[in-house]
Amino acid sequence: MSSAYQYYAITLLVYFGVNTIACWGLNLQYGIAGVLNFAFILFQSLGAYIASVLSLGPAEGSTFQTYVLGATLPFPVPWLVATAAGGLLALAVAAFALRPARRDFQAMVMLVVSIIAAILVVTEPSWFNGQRGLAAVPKPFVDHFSGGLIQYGWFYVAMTGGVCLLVYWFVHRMTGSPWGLRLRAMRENAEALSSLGVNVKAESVKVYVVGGAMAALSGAVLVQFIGGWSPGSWTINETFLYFVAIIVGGAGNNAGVVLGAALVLGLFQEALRYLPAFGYAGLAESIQFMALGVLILAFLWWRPGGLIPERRRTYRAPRRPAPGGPT
Amino acid sequence: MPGLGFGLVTAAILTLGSVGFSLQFGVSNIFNLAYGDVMTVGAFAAYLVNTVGHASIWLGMAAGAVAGSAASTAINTFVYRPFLRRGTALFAMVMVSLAVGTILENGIQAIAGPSYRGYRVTPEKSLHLLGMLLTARQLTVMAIAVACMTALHVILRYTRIGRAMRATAANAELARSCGVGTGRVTTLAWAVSGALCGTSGVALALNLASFNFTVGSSFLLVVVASAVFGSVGQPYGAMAGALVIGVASELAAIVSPSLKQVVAFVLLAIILLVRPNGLWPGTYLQKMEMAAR
Repeated sequence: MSSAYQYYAITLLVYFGVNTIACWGLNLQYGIAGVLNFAFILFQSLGAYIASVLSLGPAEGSTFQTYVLGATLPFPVPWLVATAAGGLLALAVAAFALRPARRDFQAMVMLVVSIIAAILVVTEPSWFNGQRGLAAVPKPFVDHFSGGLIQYGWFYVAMTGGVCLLVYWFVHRMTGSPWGLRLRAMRENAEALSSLGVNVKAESVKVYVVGGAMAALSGAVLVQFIGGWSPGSWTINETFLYFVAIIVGGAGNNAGVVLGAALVLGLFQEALRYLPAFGYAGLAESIQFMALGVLILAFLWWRPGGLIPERRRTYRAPRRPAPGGPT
Repeated sequence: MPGLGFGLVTAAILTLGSVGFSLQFGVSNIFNLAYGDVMTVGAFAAYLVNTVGHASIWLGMAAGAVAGSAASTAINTFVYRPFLRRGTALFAMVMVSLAVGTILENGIQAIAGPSYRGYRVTPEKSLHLLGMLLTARQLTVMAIAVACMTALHVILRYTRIGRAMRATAANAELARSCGVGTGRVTTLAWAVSGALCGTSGVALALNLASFNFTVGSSFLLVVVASAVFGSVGQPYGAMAGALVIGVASELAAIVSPSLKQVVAFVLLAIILLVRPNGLWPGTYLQKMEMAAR
């Protein structure tokens, strides 16, 4: 393989890993708990921002960009802090977005939150460097690689894969746990669940926090690969794409979500690159988004479970013979 | 006080939009994210009548109302209602409406292109009115909003069909068992709210002077904010929300234009903290029970 193709493959694989982590997080929220987090991309961008500034070094040393919280921390720390920051932001946002009782109301508040955040980032350049974003984010362990960009790239792919395995283990445990059962019950009938004494709002907050932390982790992994952070690349359209991936792959099924991430965010997005240019700039994108809209409608109509639907789970009461009865 | 004048115009546009949004939500229980794009449909219908057909902008506005009404009714009849009949959960319906909105918005872009355009209107002088600077066109927009709201009030309060709409909004099953044809009533409510939506789209595009395919969707969040502010499903609450948010955001825009949207959302944040279910909850708790099913 020539090095250009290798680099293309590396990029695709890292993006695939990042998207998969993010989709697992969103799936926990939308597919399993049934909460609509339209501000999902906000958590990913926060994670990316935190990971960037914690590895960029103090802001005073920089001549061309301003940011807050600058520090140079050894490798895994920026990712861990980013993950925690995602969870914390989710906690703050959820405390406020979950005030209305209905879930679609809550979704609107999340949408509003993400819009306010976007406005603030762009209009307050002193906090997040405004429209220009961040550049020259250092890559972990890059000094140890003498073999150049390609060798380092494969190393990064392996690292992303490792994080994916870790996250998969986590979401797999979570969806199978009693907590996962509670979340699915909340999706199906929140009222009935709360009549059983479960605090539905607290469960929603928890799932926002866990999903937000996962989104932030995916952002951190992404930003140290591409080396830059720009507010323009985290829009509501990206959140929409994640939702399409989950619905196509199979909401509620962790394996299905991987397939959805590969098909929608990988194949579908990349296919556009190979189409010959036609019409004015932006026409291809608008047709692409129309196709995505049709894809959502088609799947929700014909295959609401997605390509790999959620496994049917049945719970049987343990059979115990009645005392004194026939055995 | 030029800011107050702009604020009242914005409030008038917002009222048309958010009352229509609230009405749809009231009868169908759907958070219709395609609403902003139906506004765009109205704005472009008026553009066709106004520039291609060389008619006055007010005729264009009527065309916008008709187009909005037709688009709304079609979306409800051919997309939302079949999905609801199929048993799609309400939180998934939000995704359905988002998909419909995406298709509409990008469809309009594919046909009309991304360029900005404006209505063919003659420039006019501003009039001084109670210390406010307003053009005759802006005054007409406000008069249309007031007329629409009065008409809606009369329909909802004093006619059989209005009573049927309110009954359907409060409890559709009970209304059905009392002999209300809820299907027809719902369709009619979507037609009426679509007309309001189209009208507000035209008024918005007229007020902005230039617009493209994003005109409605970029306004949608402010519409939603005023509808949620006044409790969604409550047309009167939506009127109050529109007035407060419209005036406040235009007054803030005098200080700094970028504050305009932030103020609208901060107001929404405050109302959510003080009254989580909006200004005017009313039948809201009954709707909760409906939503749980």
